[in-house]
Amino acid sequence: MGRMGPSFSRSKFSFPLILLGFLLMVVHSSPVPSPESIFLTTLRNTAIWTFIASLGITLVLIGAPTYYRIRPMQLISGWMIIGIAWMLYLDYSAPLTWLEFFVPLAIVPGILLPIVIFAYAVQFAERSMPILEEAPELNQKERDFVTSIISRNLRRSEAATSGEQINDRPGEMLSKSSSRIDRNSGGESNES
Amino acid sequence: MSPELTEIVLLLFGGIAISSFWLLINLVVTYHPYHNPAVPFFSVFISGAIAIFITAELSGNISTIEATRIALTNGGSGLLQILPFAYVVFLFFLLKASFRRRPQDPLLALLDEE
Repeated sequence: MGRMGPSFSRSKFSFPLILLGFLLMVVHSSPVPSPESIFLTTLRNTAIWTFIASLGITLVLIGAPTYYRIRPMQLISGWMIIGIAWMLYLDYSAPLTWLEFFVPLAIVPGILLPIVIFAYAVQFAERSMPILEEAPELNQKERDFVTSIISRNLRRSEAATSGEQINDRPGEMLSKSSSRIDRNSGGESNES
Repeated sequence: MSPELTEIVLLLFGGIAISSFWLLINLVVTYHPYHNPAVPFFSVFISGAIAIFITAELSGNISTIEATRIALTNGGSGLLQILPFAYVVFLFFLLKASFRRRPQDPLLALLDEE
């Protein structure tokens, strides 16, 4: 959710939205009818230990040496919180018999089946689509435009290695380049 | 059919129903002009409808809406109940991440030298 769309602006809303959705499911002013009440009971039983477990997992991920730097405090406290989450699960949420423990696994093939059907359906739909005709070649104007972009980027990377500074903003670059193309239309760009 | 077996079958079809709903919602909200969703949409719709129909049959004489509610509730509850299994698998990878030693990157060593 935090990765969807223009994530720099939209990801800010992901956590509050998740929290809002969760609260709307858990907090009710009136009694919830069956069968939704069964789901709600399961959710309340699961929420406590999963919340603590996710906190521990986050701390372990921060502390683990994924990017060459280990943070022992976060790592140790994360594993301790994970241990507490397990204790909470075993004390309050764990099923009483082995049958109760393993029966929910029946849902796994149920979840996978529509995904497999969906994958085959997408494959079928993609294969049955007619192949598009080859795109026409670039004309001279378009070639000049592409060449100018590439040469400008090459100049910039060279300037970056030699320590030079190039002050052109993207918008200006585009307008400069299009005006140059208009002037040079039909001929080859000087920058190439 | 024994109650345990009925529960297993209900969970299986609950899983199909919730997964189908999830895929259908995903197909609808990600629609764009270059999308070709007809075949995936109908195939997933049929699988979800079959799951709801069988749930209705197993649960006695109930309406389609009620069967949908039961199937989705079973699916949601089942998903929450298998979280400990997913948690164990996740912890295994977390343990590996916590104790692994990454080989020294030659490029990073070059940076240090500079």
